[in-house]
Amino acid sequence: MRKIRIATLLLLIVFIFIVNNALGSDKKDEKTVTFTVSMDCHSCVKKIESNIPYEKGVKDLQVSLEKKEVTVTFRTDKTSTDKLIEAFKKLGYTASIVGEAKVDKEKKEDGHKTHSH
Amino acid sequence: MYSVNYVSFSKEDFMYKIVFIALFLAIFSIDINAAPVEVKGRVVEKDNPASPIVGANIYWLGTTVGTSSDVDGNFSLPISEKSQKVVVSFVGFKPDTISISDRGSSLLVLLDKNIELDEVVVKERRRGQYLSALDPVQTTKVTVTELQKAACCNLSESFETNASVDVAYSDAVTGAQQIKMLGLSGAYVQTISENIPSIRGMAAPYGLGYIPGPWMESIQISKGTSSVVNGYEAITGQINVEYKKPFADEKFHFNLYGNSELRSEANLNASYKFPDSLSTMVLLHGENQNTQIDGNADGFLDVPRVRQVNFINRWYKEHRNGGDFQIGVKLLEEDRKSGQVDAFDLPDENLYGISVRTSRYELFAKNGYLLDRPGTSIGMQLSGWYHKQDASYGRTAYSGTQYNGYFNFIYQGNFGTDLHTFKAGASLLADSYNEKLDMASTSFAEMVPGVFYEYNFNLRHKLNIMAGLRADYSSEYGIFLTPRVHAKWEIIHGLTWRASAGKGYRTPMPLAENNFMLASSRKMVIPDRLKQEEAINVGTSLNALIPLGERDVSLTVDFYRTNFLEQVVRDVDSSTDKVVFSDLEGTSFSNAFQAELMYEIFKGFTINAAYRTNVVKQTIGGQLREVPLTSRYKGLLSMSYATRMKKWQFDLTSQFNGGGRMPDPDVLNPLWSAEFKPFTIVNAQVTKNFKRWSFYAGAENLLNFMMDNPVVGAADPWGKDFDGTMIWGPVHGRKIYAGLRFTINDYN
Repeated sequence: MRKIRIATLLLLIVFIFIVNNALGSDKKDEKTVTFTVSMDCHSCVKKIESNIPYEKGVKDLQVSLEKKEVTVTFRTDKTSTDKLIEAFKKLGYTASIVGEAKVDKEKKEDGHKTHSH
Repeated sequence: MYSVNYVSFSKEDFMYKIVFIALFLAIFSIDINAAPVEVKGRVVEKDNPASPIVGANIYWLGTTVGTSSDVDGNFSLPISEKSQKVVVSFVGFKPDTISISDRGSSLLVLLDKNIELDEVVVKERRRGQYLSALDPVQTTKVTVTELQKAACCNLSESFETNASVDVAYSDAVTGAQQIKMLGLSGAYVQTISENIPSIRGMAAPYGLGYIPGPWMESIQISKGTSSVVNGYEAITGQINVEYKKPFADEKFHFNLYGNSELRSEANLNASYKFPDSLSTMVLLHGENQNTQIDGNADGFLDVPRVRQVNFINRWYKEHRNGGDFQIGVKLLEEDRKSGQVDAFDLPDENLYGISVRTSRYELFAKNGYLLDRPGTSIGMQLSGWYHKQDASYGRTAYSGTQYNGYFNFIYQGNFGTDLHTFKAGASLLADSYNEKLDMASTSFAEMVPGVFYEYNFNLRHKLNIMAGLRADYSSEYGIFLTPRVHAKWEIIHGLTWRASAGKGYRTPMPLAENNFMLASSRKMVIPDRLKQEEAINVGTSLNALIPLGERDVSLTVDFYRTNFLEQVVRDVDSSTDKVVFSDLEGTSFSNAFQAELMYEIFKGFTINAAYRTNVVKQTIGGQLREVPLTSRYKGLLSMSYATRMKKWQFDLTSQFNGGGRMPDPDVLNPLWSAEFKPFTIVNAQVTKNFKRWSFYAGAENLLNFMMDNPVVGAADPWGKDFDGTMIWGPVHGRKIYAGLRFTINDYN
């Protein structure tokens, strides 16, 4: 019985963490911005995916090589589009803003797809 | 230096030595020269050659010299002195590398839409394991992502989240582990590394521990008989391990691991790319488990004390006109001690100790060339190893050496179109064993030259038929034929049917492969001559991708039957004093049915649920019976969650193992029951990733499930009841571990 209790407790902790993370209930103002980035290869995608997440304030990232677009969700109190463009520059890419949107908190899961102004 | 593997060949093996040196020279000496010229051409879509690809990248491999195609798909590329291989790539298409040797003429480059791109790269999170969409053989590819879900330690842990492969301890004392596929012994799975023979013969008992986790780039697990190109040994399946490559992104990797039983491991990978397409890599692994752990207080160590040093150095060179050359060495030293507590610390001769010392040296080389005619190439693989094991099980001494040599030549061609392609070639597999059990020496040598042909019909990934035949001549068993057929049909988009049928063969080496059985009072009875094992495997599978919400549910059902025509039966039923090996007299088969479901419920949260049931029966002592120590079913439920951008990763895997039959206990004095019960194993791990660092902590066997009396007759290891081989479940309990990784890639 003790084993089952331990396992249940563990599952519960993981579940709460997941829900908490997925809903992002207590997050500050977040913004989702799509940049056009000068990338043209799969290792460029890897480079962006392994560096941009660790820029201060970055909360989510989606890279589309086909559209040459990078969609970044970030906290407005910690970073800005200018700082992100600078971060792309440091990796050797030029970036410019495509679309800008304020994120609806409940639908943050789907980020840029279901944004409302 | 390359002859180091063969210097101690005895007189009768002299021929082997000559043959391999000659083959080595052949591999080095082939070179094809071509003068570079200006390259002009046109890039179009393969499915629609009227449609030009605009803006495709065209560049000389390994250089920055390149251009792009114009609005009509045309391009012209200035001559390069450094490279003779042009890479053509465009987003959404499979990149193509073309060897330029056709002077002056214009190139027509047909780019194929990239199917794997949809599956792997476009989705942000690379799935840990997925069913290959292209392969006609039912193949699951396990990637680094998946391998890192179980941080410890080597190949044996890599199948934790895979439903098709089971890993179990062979006995309660040595720590030897065996894999099983379709409910059958790992001996019937062909385990190869980079398509070269790897875990077989002397390496069978402890070989899973010879491939450290951080060395692996990916694992391909195929069910059923595989391609004839890699030999005749795959009967229930094939496991191919790809090591990390010197030319890949990883430049430096460091890994430390420690667990609650004070086992420590360290790994160091480093690669260096020279200019001019030469690269090299060093993989280094060390492990140490020196603490004596006896959780169940039966006087026997639950985990062996193991020290291992393991090393690979490999080199890779891209040829100027296409293809590549690779060479590498692998060295391993392992010292394994087990048995009763203090057996190696106190000078008490009555303490039962097990000691296994292993040295293993391998050498491999590969050479591949693209030929002038598009779609044609030649490839050569050559490898050799020396494996030495000195063991003592109590007062029984066993020592053995094995030399293995392998050569494979593959020509890949087509009939003018890539609708019909083929592979043809010749191989040579040679083994030489010398074994000594107490005072009795035996030796065995076998040389198997063979030829093969495999035809592949590929209708734009809709219908794919692969039919192969090989003919081999064994110096021991004579000529034998291996036919194999595989088919894949995409009935409608998202619904794929596969079927396969084929034969497989194996040379049994009962003592070398089962020397862990000496950890008991059982006497080994092995006849002087055993027949070559021979089996037919047929199977079919259906994979459906069912749209549900935003993502697809992947559902796979498969059924495989293995029928043995000849088999070596390991009889542990007739007597509790003996283990008797003999040729099968009667029938022996395995039926395995499996259903597996994978679904990403919401972004980052993936579940994998699977259930397999297998009926494995063999004629033992004149009676068709269930093979003992084989679970009748296996259930698997694994859940994986990665937060946005994969900064945190959580993994929880539960394995539900069915019960099964125990070997017959003694009628008058039964020391174990006739059946073993089902049991559940739960593993969990949390990983935190940083830009270059990642930290992980986890637990194996979270529910702390253990067999009650893993060592039968533990109180008197010299007595007639002692038996450490009646194992069906875990010998040791919950294990907590933690570790770190540090990685520098080309791109960060």
